[in-house]
Amino acid sequence: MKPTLVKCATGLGPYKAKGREFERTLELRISPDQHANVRLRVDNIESRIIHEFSPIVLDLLELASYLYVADTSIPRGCHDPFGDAWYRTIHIVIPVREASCWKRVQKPLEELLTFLSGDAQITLDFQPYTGKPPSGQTYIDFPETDAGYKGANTVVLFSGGIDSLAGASQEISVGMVPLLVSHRSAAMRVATQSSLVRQLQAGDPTKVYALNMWVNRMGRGQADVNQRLRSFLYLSLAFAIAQQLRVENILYCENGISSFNLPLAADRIGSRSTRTTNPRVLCTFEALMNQVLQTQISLHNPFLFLSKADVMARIVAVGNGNLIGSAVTCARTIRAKRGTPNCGTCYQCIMRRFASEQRNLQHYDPVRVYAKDIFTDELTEGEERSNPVQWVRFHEKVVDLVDDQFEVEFPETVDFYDFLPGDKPESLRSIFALYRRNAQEVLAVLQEKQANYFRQFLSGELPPHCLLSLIGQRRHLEEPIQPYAVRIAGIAEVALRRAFAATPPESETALQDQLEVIFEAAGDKLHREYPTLVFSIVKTKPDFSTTCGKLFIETKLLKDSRRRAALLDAMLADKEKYSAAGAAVLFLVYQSAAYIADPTELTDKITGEHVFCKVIG
Amino acid sequence: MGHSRYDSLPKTKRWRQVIEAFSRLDSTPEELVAATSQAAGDSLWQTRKDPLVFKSCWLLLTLPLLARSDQLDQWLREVGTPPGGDYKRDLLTGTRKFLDQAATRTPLRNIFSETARLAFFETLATAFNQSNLVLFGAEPEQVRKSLSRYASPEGFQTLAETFFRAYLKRSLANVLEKEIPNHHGIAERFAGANDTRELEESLNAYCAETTALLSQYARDWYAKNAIHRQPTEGRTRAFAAYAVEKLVEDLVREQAQ
Repeated sequence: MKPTLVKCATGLGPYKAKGREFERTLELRISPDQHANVRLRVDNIESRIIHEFSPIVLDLLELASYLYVADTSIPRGCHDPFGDAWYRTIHIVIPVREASCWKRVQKPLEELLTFLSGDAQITLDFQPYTGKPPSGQTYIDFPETDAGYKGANTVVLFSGGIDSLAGASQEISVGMVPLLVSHRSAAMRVATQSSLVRQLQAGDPTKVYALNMWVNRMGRGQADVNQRLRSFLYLSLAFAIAQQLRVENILYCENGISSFNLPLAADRIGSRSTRTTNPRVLCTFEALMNQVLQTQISLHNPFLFLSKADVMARIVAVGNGNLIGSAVTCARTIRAKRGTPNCGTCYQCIMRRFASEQRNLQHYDPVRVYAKDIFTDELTEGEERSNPVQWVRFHEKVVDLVDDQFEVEFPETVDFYDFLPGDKPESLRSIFALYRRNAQEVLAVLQEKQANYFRQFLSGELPPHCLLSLIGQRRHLEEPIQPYAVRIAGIAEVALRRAFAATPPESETALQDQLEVIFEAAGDKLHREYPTLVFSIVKTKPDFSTTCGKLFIETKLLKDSRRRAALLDAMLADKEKYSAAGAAVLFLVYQSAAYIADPTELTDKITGEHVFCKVIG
Repeated sequence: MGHSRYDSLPKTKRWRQVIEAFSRLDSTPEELVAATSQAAGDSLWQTRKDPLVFKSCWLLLTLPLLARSDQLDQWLREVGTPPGGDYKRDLLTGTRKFLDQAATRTPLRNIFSETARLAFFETLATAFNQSNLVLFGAEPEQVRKSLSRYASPEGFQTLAETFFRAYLKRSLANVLEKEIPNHHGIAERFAGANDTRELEESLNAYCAETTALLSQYARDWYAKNAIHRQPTEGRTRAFAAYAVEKLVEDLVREQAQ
């Protein structure tokens, strides 16, 4: 893909790129420029802060805003199997007040931006401002607040999702006074963030403060919705504010699974799995900004070695469990509907849904906050199915990976190893352990869900493309067939005894007719005489089968003790035929008198893995 | 945060054939892999000049030679990672920086460049595992010895085969993964765990067979170009290009058979 030239035109003199050809030029102008197409506005900001913004801080805010808008204005394509369009080449020319300072960090900054966005290359050209640079006050559109951020001693990046809510909650619980910094690009999340802030304040506005920055493209929608450079904007504002308030700590809270973000599948490599809070990004940004701003601010992710489930549990532990349902995690808020702010099927929603199930926090995070219940709602073809299916397969893969195999399967670890905190080998081991532990919990949730919905699954009541149906025959879900067979046998035993208490069935057909009624009354939808199976040179049909074909039920009627040997032969033959079809078999043997004195003699001979037998009568 | 991006396959005739193969319940894993490699062949061919395919080959060729001649430390210093910590980790960091710099200098890239990079690190991790190097804390001498084992025609053959197998497998899996989830479920092509496992096994076998022929070439090439004369970037670039061409030719030949 040929490169795109991004001209940040406000304050830029005549510019001609030397020796380079560009496929297209994007001209951006920042508010309050008369022809502005980039809006930068900071709400609720104290006048003393904005008045004191140094030229370099204003440069940083403008650079971050331009980058964000440029990133979302240049499309990446979506039907390109090998991602030629994904890997963009972008050259940005931007006027700055402190050009020499920016040029000193230009190369590492370009490397950081290229890694964060996952583009082929992002390059910067810092130009001196022409004319008088706009002052900071121009970005204030809202009335100044009176709160004054008195006592704020930590800055927490606040998206309104679970992880940032946990960060804010935890800080408050230990007596810190956080200033929550949010980026807003659309009105959708405003209510969520504001509501959570109010609830965190619990009537005391000095307990926690909030500051919002609006940056968006004016006039038309985003050409690319992936927003890979959003965190650069977010972090820039946090650093600017922290510097002005002389706060030494910034928290960017994200669970470890999302931070490391090892690709769910082979088609999600590179920045297709976002690097927003990858330790390499946070570590590099921290070093660069401290150099640029001449500060010693610490940027830290306190949840790096926790899973989403762990993070949720922390919110509950500090007494804010009731806020979980109000947090919005979804990546597709733009498509959200009132009442169901989370789509339920994007990667974030899936992770959150599993996390609440992992820790039994469903009462705090009810299904109603999701537009779709992935476990039992029909999922449309494409991303709605690929996300949960790949999620399950990913955890099936990592659950058994030993440390050495992790490095072979996921070479992405090389990208962040150098930037891990503390003892790096120990940290990497902890990450592998975190992934394995989380995978065990995810698979346990699936197993439990499958057991809970097993009857609906077998009787075909579940939609064909809900998650439980999509993965219905996978390895970790095989075990519940036994309790289901036992249940069916128990129902048959009780009902047949009553039905034939006075007169035994005359034929196997009569026995089957009765069973059909019994199964229907019990709510179990079973096929009769279906499917037809071919075994060697013969065709056969089980008397009953579950809709999904996982369990065949074969009935036998014993009316004469001399038929016992023939009965056993027939059952052994059926066992072989049905097992060859890959299904479990349940034999229901009805005897009109005690021809088989000790049923265990028969059942012991017949039963085995996925073969069950019940002697009735 | 934590967004993952999903792309669907294009609607061109060749890719529609891949989707059709997935839609058939009776398609074999081999047919699915073959249809995918057929559709991906042209794009794979284009990667014969991919800078990261070449630089990966260059590292696989030169790192063992540097290790054997005790010049590895010097090389690490040159790429900005003076050894001092865990030596194996220093080496991984050094190679990461080297490949990142290569990518920066030649920004024309796509998913194949990314795949080549991953395949390189997979190859290195596999080589270390085969040498029974501990994950952390291996002595520098152990690491150097482990690497220098590959400074021979047979050693380079092993590394090249592992690299191109991983490269091919990851490239094809990238496409397969876009379609597999659409065919999961009861009465679908991927009804159970066995179905996806069989496809993975088939893909592994396919890539192993395809790269087996290439590995022979790698051994012969090394014997001619790295034993009695100094390997050069130019000749290695030609090796990488020819290796990719051969890989694609073998894909086409197998499909024809």
